[in-house]
Amino acid sequence: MAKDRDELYGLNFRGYEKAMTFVNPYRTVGELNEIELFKLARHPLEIADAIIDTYSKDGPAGIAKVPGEVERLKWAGIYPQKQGGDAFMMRVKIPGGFLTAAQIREIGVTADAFGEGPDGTESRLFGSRYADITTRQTFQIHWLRIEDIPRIWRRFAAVGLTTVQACGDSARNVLSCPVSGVDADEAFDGLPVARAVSAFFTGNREYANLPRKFKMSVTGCVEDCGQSEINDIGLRPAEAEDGTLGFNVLAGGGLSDGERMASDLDVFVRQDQAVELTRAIAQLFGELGNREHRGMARMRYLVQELGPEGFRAELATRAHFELVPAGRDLTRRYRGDHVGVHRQKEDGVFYVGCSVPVGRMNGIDLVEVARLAETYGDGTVRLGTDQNFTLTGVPGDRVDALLAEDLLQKYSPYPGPFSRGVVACTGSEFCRYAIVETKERAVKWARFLDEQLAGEPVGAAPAPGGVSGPQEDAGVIRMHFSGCSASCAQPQIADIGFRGEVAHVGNHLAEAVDIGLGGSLGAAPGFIDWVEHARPVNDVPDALLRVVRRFQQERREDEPFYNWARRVPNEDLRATLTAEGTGTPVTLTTKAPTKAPTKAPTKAPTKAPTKATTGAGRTRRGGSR
Amino acid sequence: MSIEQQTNPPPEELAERSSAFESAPAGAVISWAVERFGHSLAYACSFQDAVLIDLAVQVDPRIEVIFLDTGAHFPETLEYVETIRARYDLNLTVTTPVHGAEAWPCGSERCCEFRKVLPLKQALSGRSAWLTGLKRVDAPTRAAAPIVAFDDGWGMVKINPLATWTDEDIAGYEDDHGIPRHPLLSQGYLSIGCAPTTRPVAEGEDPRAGRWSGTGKVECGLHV
Repeated sequence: MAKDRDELYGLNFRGYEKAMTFVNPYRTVGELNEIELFKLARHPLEIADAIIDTYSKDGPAGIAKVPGEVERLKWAGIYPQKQGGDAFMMRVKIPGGFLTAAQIREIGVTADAFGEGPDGTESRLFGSRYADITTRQTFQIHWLRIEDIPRIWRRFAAVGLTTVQACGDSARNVLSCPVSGVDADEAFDGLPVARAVSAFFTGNREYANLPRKFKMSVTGCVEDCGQSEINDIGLRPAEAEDGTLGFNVLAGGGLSDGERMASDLDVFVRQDQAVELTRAIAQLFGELGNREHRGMARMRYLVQELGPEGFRAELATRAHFELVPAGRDLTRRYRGDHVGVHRQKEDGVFYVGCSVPVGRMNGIDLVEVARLAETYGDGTVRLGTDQNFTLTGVPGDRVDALLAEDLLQKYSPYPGPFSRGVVACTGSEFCRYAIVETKERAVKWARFLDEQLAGEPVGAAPAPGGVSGPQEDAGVIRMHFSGCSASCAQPQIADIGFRGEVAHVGNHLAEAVDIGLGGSLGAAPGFIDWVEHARPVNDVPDALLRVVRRFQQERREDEPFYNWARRVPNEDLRATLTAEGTGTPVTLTTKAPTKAPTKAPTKAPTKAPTKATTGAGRTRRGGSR
Repeated sequence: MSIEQQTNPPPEELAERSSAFESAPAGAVISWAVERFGHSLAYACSFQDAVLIDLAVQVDPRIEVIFLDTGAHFPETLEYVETIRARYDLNLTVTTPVHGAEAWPCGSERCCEFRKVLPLKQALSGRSAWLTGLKRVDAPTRAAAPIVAFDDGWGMVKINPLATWTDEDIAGYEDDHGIPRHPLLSQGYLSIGCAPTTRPVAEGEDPRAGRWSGTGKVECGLHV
């Protein structure tokens, strides 16, 4: 790709001379899977040229005619929507969820100007022309047409945004604490390191063909905002014996349909070693990872197979510095979100976290967010893994005026505990794997519970206008809704998790969910137990109400929901959930119960553990698998 | 301004007028409008031609004419506006895009909104009626346009004195009255909007095919 084009489209590709060296020279057990063959046939990053030169001009029909081309689209941050035809989703890369006002404005403009679906696709709840904040602190925009993609890239490049490797078997958006640099309690500002890691991988052809997606988290905060336990690499703040601040290294975490808490590798790295560390781990993963079975390809299976010590030994042979043992872990707790008005590091300055139920915002609202960031704050906007946004750098005497803005009535810093904690994946509206609709339903359920339980607080939520304190997080009940077992909404770490399923009601199939209870990260990390299976969706709101009311009755002082759910036997929880199931079933609209793409083959060489291997993990109590 | 002028006319009166005007000359429509709405009337002109200006100034030489400068017009359009302004000593108001317009890509709905629709809303604010040069032959979306009707979207009466005219009628009037033509008309531009979103059309092609070509967009939002 020519250099002038690189700059114009924001496609700064490197590493041509070394590309594709990672296909394992000595460890091929079986035959490479089909995707691996596609990646070998033509480097996936070459899709960018093909889109600019061919598909944007001739239309999307040609894409399907080239073997592997639909896969390669992902390296450009693009997925075809399940509707087919000229309808694509584009995902942006936003390290640490940190955006300038100009960038979030451009994302809003893109959604509004290019993201209108065909007639009849407008959502009653969300309208049309929206963008979704994802659980990896970035945006997805739907209903884009292939002819507009190069134009969008040019516009993105002008404000410093890229979509390169937002998807595909490569380094995905790097997580960090959304209030990096302004958080009063952080050990250090981890965002510059997160950005350096992202910059190393993005557009780097040599490292753009890993066995599977590669998720990293880099934080300097003490609240594990980057969810280090459920990433392929989690770098969290630590202090060496000599007082140097850097990171301890976790590896091999993930959710999907074989969830695993990351292993502590007993390695400390200085901040200036972080890029080399992630490079060396990517090399290790690229060389030793499973390229035969897609379902066993994620790095957590390799960590499980080698064991943390074996993995560390392989790492030591590849890292260009000597590995030293872990330092003192500085992580104190899990925060989960930044909703509310909070004091910053500097006196008299605040950040305001705004709740976006299920992360979906109209493009025109994002343009307004940009204005608010410029008018009241420091001109930046931060996205969290909780699908919310935060405005930083608001002077104390401007907070009230900001709170009075129309947009903050819609995306409130003082939401109800369920609206605040609700997260949902894309769902069957656009995703070809999802079994059920998620986003509208999740918002309706959250609103229902907030309305039913109004005046019966479930935690220490601040009164509107108040400044939030550290304990108030207990006032959130997190409901995460995934449309299938791929876990894009992270149900396993939620107080209440849902996973799309089908139920037989009479003689037809109905939309249903598995219901899990008791997940959390942080001080007491543990995945949910799937307590109830294939519950028809219309039964769910009342079932949730019964469970939450029971929690209110049995709750110990300041006890979080997940803690209560863990100490009540699953049979009891199930009995509460299943009483009086009388809702009218919703007939399934998708064709058949589709299996998630990451489903492990039945003859798996190793099985992902279901028990936490770091932190104060708890043993699962049986449950579904 | 009288009380009558501040009240929206009843729909029956407008419908009656509109059907009566179907066979009336455009000048009669304009005369009625000027008499009925006085200084609360303005003409939002695209300056693709000056026929309605020529007709309107015969009725009221000081009638306010609004030109929406989108910031993206052809230089020829701007020259033509000046030619016409000087020729008629027009009472001309030129709008500019509202704040934030530059964020939106050319041809998008918001681009038109920020550069045309919102500036015109501001310019027409407080008025009770506007004149337009809309013709039924312009586009299928305009085929059933009445000559006079209350425009709900704009909250005022919209008067289209040339609704029944064809492009040939326009050309004939220009010839008969020696009115200067937009310089791009002779270069194949039969419907003229912003430079980046307007192309010439081939002979026999729909005159409006050159507007937002290939996008499916047919209206900027003023006449919807």
